[in-house]
Amino acid sequence: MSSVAVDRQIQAFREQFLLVRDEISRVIVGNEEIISGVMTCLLARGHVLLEGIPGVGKTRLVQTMADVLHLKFSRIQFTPDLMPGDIIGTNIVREDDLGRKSFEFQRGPIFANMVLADEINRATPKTQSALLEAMQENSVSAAGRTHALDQPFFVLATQNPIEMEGTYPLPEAQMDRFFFKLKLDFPDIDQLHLIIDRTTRLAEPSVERVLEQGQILQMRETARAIPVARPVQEYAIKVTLATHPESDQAHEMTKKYVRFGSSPRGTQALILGAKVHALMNDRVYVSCEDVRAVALPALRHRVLLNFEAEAQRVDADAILAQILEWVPESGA
Amino acid sequence: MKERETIIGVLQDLGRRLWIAQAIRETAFGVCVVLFCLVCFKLIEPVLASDLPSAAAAIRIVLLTLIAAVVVEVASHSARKVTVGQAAAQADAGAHLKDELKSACWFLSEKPMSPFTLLQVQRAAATAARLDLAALAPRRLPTNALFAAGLGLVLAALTWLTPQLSRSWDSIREAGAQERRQSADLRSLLKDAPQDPEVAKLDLALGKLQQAGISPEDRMRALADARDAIDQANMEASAARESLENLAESLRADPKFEHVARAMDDGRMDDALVLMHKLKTDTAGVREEKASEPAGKGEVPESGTGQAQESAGRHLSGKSAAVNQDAMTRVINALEQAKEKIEAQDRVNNVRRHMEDSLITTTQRSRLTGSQFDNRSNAPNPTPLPETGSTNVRGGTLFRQAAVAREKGDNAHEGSQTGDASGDSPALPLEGAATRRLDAQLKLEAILQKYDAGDEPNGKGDPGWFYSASREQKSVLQAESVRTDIGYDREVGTDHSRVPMRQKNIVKNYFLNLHESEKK
Repeated sequence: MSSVAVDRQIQAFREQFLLVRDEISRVIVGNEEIISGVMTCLLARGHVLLEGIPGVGKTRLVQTMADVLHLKFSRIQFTPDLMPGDIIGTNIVREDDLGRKSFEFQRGPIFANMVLADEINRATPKTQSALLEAMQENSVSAAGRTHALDQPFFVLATQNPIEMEGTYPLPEAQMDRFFFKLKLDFPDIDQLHLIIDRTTRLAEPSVERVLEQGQILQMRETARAIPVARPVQEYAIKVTLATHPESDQAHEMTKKYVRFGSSPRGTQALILGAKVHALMNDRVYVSCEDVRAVALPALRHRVLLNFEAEAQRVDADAILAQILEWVPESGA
Repeated sequence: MKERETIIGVLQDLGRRLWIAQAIRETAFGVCVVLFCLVCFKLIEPVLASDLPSAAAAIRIVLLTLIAAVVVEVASHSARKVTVGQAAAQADAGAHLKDELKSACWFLSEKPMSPFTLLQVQRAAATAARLDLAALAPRRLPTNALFAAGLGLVLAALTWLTPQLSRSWDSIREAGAQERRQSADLRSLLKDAPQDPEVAKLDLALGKLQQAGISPEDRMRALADARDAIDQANMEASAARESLENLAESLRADPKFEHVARAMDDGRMDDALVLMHKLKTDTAGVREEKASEPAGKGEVPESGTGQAQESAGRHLSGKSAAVNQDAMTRVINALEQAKEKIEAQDRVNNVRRHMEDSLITTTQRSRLTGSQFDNRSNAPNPTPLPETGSTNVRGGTLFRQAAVAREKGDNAHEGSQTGDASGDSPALPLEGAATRRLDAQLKLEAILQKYDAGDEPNGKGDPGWFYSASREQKSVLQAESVRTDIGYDREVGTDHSRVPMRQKNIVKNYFLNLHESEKK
C-alpha cells in the first residue's frame, strides 16, 4: 500500500467518523465528546458503559447510533428476573414436517451488532456475567455449542448512578470488560432549549444511515494499523502504573485513595483509544496527547477507590487528572 | 532514505546547538558557584588569616576541593552530547509537534516500515525541514553567565581591595604589638624611679596594658588608672613645689639661707640639699652645746610633707640666732621628699608623654566606636529634647557639668551657658565635667603651736598651716559621691581623691598656673 493510499484511507476514516458524529448530533443535543467516545469504542472493538441520571439521552443516543450505522440493533432491558437465556438464547424443541422433534438454538437478543443493555445493574450477577462473557469472547456458548457473534459486536450498557436500591453493582472484574466508561452530564440551558425544540414538535428529527457494516470493519482495521512509538507506549504504561498504589511509580493521591489500580486492559484501552483519537486529528502516529485525551474514560472505572476516598468524596477522575499532570512524557 | 537523512540531519544540527547551549549554561553555572565561593572566601580571608590561620588553611583546602568537584561535574555534564532522540523531544516540545519527530525517530529504526509508518516518517521529514533551529535553540548568553560576570567583577574588586584590607588588619595587629612593646618601654622608664605609691600604681597599670589578651574594656580601665596615677603624682609634686616655694620664702628671710632659697627657687634641689647639709654641719657644734635641752623641744607636729616644710622654714627663719638643728634635719628631709616627688613627677610625665604618643594606636585598635571614647556618648540623652526641653537626669547632669565649666576670663557668659530652658538655643561645646577652684576645695587653716618659754618670746605658738577641706568642698564631695554611686563611667566619676579623672589635667594645670599667677 502506498503512502497515498494510506493517506486516503486516513482521510476516509476521518470523514466517516465526522459524518457519523454529525448525523447523531442531529438528534442528540451536545455530548459531542460522548458521541466521539462511543464511536471510539466501536472502532477500537470495545464496549461502552454509559452512566447518567435518567432522561439525559443514554438510550436515545444508542438508538440513534444504531440508526446511523445501519447495524442490527437489539435492546435488552435488564431487570432482576432477567435470565441468561433471555439474553443469549435457548434451545427449544422444534418439530419438522415429518414429525421429528429436535432441539434448535433460538438466538437471543445478544445476536446483534449493537446491543443496548439498559440498566445493566438491575439484573442479577448471573445474567450480567452471561452478557459480559459474550462481550469478552465475542461468542456465546449454549448447550455445548459455541455460537460466534456477528461483527461488529458492540455492547452499550447503561446504568443509573442514583437509584442503587435493588441493584446489583457490576463487579470490578466485569467493569474491566468495558472499554470506556462515559458519563453523561445534565445538559445546560441552551442544550435544554434545543432538546425541547427538537422533541416537542410534530416532526422529530430523523437520521440517515451513513455507514455500512463493512465500512465500520474497515475503519476498525485502519485504527489498529496506526503505529505507536515506544516512548508513547511507555508513557501509557507509566500512567497505568501510576494508578497502582503499591507501585514505585504511584502518585501520592494513588497511595492515599486507591485500592486497586488499572489492569493491563486499561493500558490497551489507552493505546487503542489514542489511536482512534490520533486518526481523528489527522495523524498517523499516536502522541502522548492522544493518550491523555482518552485516559479518563479508559481508566476511571478501572481505578478502585478505598474507603478514605469515598469518605472524602474523592472520585477517580480527580486522581487521574493529578496523575496525568504528574507523569512525565518519556524521551526518545 | 531521503526522509531519514532529512530528519537525522536536522535533529543532529539541533542537538549540536542544544549541546553548545547546555555546555555554556553548565559552565556558567559552575563558574557562578566557583566565583561565589571565592568571593565568600575573599571576604572572610582577612579575618581568618589574622585570627584563625589554621581554619583559613582548612577552608582553602575545602574550597579547592569544591572547585575541583564543580569543574569535574561541569565537564561531565558538558561532555554529554545531546542525542537525536533528545533533540527530537526538544523540537516536539519547542514547536508543539505533538511527538511527531520523537515518533518518527523511533519508527526510523523499524524494518520494514509499514505503510502507515512510512507515511508518518514522510510527514515528519517535511516538518523537520520546516523547523527553525535558531528559534528552537537560540544562541544567547544564559542568565547564569550574567551572574558569573557580576560575581567576577565583585571578585576582581575584592582582589584589589584585599591587600589593603590585609594591610589594615596587619597595621591593627602591629598596633597591638606595638602597644605592648610601648607598655614595656614605658615600664622601663619607671625603673629606678623613687619609691612612690603613684609610681607603683602607674607601673601596675602599665603592667596590665602589657598583657597580650587584655580586653578593650580592661585596657581602657588600665589607661584610666595610669592617667589617674600620673595626675595624682603631678598633684603631689605640685603640692611639694608649693611647699618648697613657701619654704624658700621663709628661708629667704635669713641671709644664711639665702643661697639655699635661691637654689630652691631655681629648682636646683641637689644644690639646696648640699647647702643645707653644709649648714647643718656648720651648726653641729651649736647643737652639741644645746644637747642638754629636751629632745622634743621645738618639734613641730607634722600633718603632712608641705606642712612640715613650712613649719621647719619658719623655725629656721624665725630663730636665726639659735639654729634649730632638728628643724634643719626636717627641712633636709622635706627637701629630699620634695625632690623625690618632683623626680617621680618627671618620671611619670615622661611616661605620660610616651603614653599620649601611643594612644593613637590604642584608639585604632580598640573595638569601641569613636564616639564611645567621648564623654557625652555615654549619656542616654545628652541634649534636651527640642519639643519639651526636658532631659534625662543623667544626660542633663552631664550637659550641665559641661556647660558651667568655667574658663579663664569667661565671666561674660557665666550663668548663661546652660542653654535655654526650652532647649532651642545651642549650648556651648562640651568641654568635660565641672571643676572647682582650689579655694573651694581646700581651706588653709592654722593650728597654733605651743612652745617653751625660751623658744617663744611672745608666749604664743607659731601656727601650723595645713589645708583642710572647705565646707563647700564637703558639700560637693557628698554630691560627687552620689554622682559616682549612680554609675557614671570611670572616667567621668571620681576616685578617692574626689577629682574627676577627666578633669585631672585641668586641676593639675590649675595648680601649676596658680603658682605662676602668684609669682606675677
